[in-house]
Amino acid sequence: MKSTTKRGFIVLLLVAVFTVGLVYLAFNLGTNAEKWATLRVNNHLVNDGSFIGAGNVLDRNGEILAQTVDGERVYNNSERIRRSTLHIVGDSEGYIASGVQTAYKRELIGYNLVTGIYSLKKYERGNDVTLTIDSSVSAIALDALGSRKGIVAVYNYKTGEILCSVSSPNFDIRNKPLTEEIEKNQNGKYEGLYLNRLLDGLYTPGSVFKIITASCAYENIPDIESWEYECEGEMFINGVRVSCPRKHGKLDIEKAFAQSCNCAFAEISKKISAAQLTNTANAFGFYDNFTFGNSFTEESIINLSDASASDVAWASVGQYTTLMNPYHALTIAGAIANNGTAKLPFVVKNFASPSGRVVKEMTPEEVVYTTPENAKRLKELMRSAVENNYGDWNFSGVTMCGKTGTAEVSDTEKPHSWFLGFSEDEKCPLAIVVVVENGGWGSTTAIPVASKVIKEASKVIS
Amino acid sequence: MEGFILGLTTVSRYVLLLIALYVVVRVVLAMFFKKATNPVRGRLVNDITGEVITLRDNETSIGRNKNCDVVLGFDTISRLHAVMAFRNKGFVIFDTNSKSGVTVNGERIKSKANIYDGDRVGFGGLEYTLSVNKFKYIKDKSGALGRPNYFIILILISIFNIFTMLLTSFPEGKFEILVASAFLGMIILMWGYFFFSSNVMRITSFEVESIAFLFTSIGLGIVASIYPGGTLKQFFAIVIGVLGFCVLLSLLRFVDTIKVFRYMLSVGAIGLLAFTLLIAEPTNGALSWVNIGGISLQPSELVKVAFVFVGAVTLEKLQSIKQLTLYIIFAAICVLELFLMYDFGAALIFFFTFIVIAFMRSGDIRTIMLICIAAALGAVLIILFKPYVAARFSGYLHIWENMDTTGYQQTRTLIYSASGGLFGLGLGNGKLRNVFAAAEDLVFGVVCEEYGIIMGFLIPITFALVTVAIIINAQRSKSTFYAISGVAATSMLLFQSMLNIFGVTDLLPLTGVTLPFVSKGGSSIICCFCLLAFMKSVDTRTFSNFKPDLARPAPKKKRRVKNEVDN
Repeated sequence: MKSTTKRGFIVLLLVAVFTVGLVYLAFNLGTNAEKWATLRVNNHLVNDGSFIGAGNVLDRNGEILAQTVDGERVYNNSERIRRSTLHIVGDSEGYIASGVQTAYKRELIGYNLVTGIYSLKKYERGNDVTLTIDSSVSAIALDALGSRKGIVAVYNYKTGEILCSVSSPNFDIRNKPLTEEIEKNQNGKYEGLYLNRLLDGLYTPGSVFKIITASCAYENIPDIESWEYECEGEMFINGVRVSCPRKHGKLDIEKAFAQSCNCAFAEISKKISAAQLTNTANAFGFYDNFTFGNSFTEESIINLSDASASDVAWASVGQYTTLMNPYHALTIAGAIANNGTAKLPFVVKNFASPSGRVVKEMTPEEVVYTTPENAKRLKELMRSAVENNYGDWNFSGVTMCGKTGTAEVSDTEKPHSWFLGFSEDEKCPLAIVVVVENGGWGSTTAIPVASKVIKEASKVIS
Repeated sequence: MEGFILGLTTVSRYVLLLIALYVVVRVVLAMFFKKATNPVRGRLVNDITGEVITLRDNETSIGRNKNCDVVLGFDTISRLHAVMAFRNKGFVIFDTNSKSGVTVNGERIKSKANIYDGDRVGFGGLEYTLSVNKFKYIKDKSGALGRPNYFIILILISIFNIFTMLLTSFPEGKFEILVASAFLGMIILMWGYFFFSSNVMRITSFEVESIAFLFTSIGLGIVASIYPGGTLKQFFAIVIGVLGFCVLLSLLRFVDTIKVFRYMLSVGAIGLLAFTLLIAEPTNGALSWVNIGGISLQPSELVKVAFVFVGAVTLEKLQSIKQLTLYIIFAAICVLELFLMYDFGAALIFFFTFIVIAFMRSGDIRTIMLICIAAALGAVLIILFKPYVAARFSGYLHIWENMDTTGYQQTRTLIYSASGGLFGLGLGNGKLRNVFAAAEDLVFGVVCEEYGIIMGFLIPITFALVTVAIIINAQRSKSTFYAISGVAATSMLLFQSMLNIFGVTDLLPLTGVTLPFVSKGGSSIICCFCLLAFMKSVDTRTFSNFKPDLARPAPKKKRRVKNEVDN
């Protein structure tokens, strides 16, 4: 009897195994609950393949860009606003991965382990999000870009708020092109349709890169302030030709930058090593990934490890294998405008629960790219470029600094057209990046776009 | 109306959880803090030395082996010499094949003899006189912690049912009388059982029953909410279960009488499974369901009860090698039949229960290890030669890669459990309910999503705690049968909960077994209540108020009994 009943204690082994399993399950649930509950297959969040778990998406002025009405996701009434904010707001199906509705899905659902998705069930919508985007500036930017592929983005370099980010090609979310059409992609019309080129784009920078080369020169060449060069329209490094569109004549660094003289920068590249140029580029954020919700930006690339002297010369004017991401470019403009420290651009102001309580306030991160002194010298170069070369008449009412780029991409296509700049006015702390793919000259294609957008944005900000 | 339901849902999220927490905590505390009363039934007094052997249990083993309850260290005593048993008709002495034999009043007995007050019993030359204590009704001496107010507990479970009734009786906005009546029936059933058992069966504590009622109420709510049409069916299964519980519990008083049914039950169980194997139509890949006259049954559930009974009922012949061998053969046939039905979950449960019973009976770790190794080899061989068996478990540990195929049920269980949060979305507001087998296999996930993760975890935690309490209480249990069957039944339920909960959450392969008491399914509910009778019998108070017949019968009858050979 007694030995028989004592043997019953063997079952405590099962109890122990069971307990360990339960603890593991609880731990697993505790750590993964949010990840699991916010998956798209959760039918609480998705209706007919369309994400309804989010609350209202508002622009900075309270304009509703997207909302859930009776279990359907409804977007803004104006097609211009729908198109221009498409890549920032994102779509209901989650194709646009970096759109707020997908990248900030968790914050929008407002999941927490204690109440699960109860609040979403109760109010029939998730958390509201207020963006930093201004829908009217975005619409103007869409007009300015037109049907051309590319990106226009403006941000406040003092606060980090992105005012507009328009990526093209885009589509009207109410009349989305058929999936077969998109897959067929006739004439490359829908190339990278779901990508926000601000975050996912990677372009040859062309002369925009001269900002980095100039910075490197200031840091590494002691007599660069008194350096002078005579541009003959072309020069040769180890037999490889470096050319300018015309003879620039006698130049110092400021004029070489303003007139974007390739020969002068090739000459400078001889005075600096590939390693020095790479170091400066790295200090300015090359190879950095910037987070954007739960997605990342593409990293800018400069690889001079096997580069010859002529390759370094071409790299110093933004050719060779150098590639730059527009978001990253924007941070460079922001850093130069802001004494060498970039406030990283962001798009979400805050998340608020359906009852109106702000649950999460977004604050920008900062990255130091260079010293205030160096930033000041680069700012002077960029100011001079606008003042003496592109013309202040392009940007009436603001004191603009900037640099264009005309990035050669292939023998058959037109070059990419860049403008990277900022206003140095205290009252109008805006930085802008414009890339028009195969748009031709930076000064004739990108500047007019920038001009229109800055004009509208400066109205909004002051 | 809608506003009322909405408000009710909000309140119910907390009320239902609080009731469940109170009932479980209170009952489990009682199970740990009650005092087991184990009165002295009689004494054997040594004629020469005056040494006293106290007889409390229904079986007291006497022998030289240190595992015996009474150790007599003499050469004339066999290792297990005799078993002194207390039955409904008083004391019985069994000679367990001892060398020197057992004498009663100087006469050597064949295998067993009834003995009465004043009889002299001899083992290998040691002579004792039996003195039988007069029967006294025993009072429950448990303190306040050990004796909860079951009136309050039943009221709380009734409130639980009223809440669920209100939440589920308006499926399409219209009042469904059939759904509501199931909950009212449930309340009547509980109170009816309460009065019947306390007045007729003279039971004073309702520990395991309270938990069973609570868990079946949770399950009934889920069935009513997902399949309103099946509510009454589920309720009737609970009624049959409770009836089965009462009948079995009454029968268990007369273990020595009903033990003769063990051969019949064994053959019946094997036959029933074989019959199922022959006529069953495949349901979800298993052949475990039979349809008789429009009622589908899962015979393996009923066989579970027989399996525990047959395994534990050997009583005084516990140590007999022949009896254990017969049980091993019985168990092997059952497990094999279940395997052939592709009901791997049930096969595992039977095998595990067999191991527990076999170990408790023999204590022979070596034999049991050998059996386990043989079983593991058998399983490996089957998987090698029948690859589709392994294919059924291919989703295991790869559920997220196969979210919409082999991992569908498991991933949805996890996703929706997480969606519910600690307090749930309220009964009726979940989405897991739309997944196949939500109220059966996936019911743990439905509880987590709609009643909350705390409630979900409360169920397995309760099973574990009850198991520990039963094991501890079994130490005081009056009979080896009660101890073995109680521990086996509770381990069976615990093991089944483990297969269910860990199966749907991918800690173990998904075998498709039900969560005891909570899952939808008539056979399963009935089986659970019957197993509960075994768990209940462990408690010494269960049968303590029945007066045994201690009087010596007329001399003529006595001689007949004495010479009868037990078979």
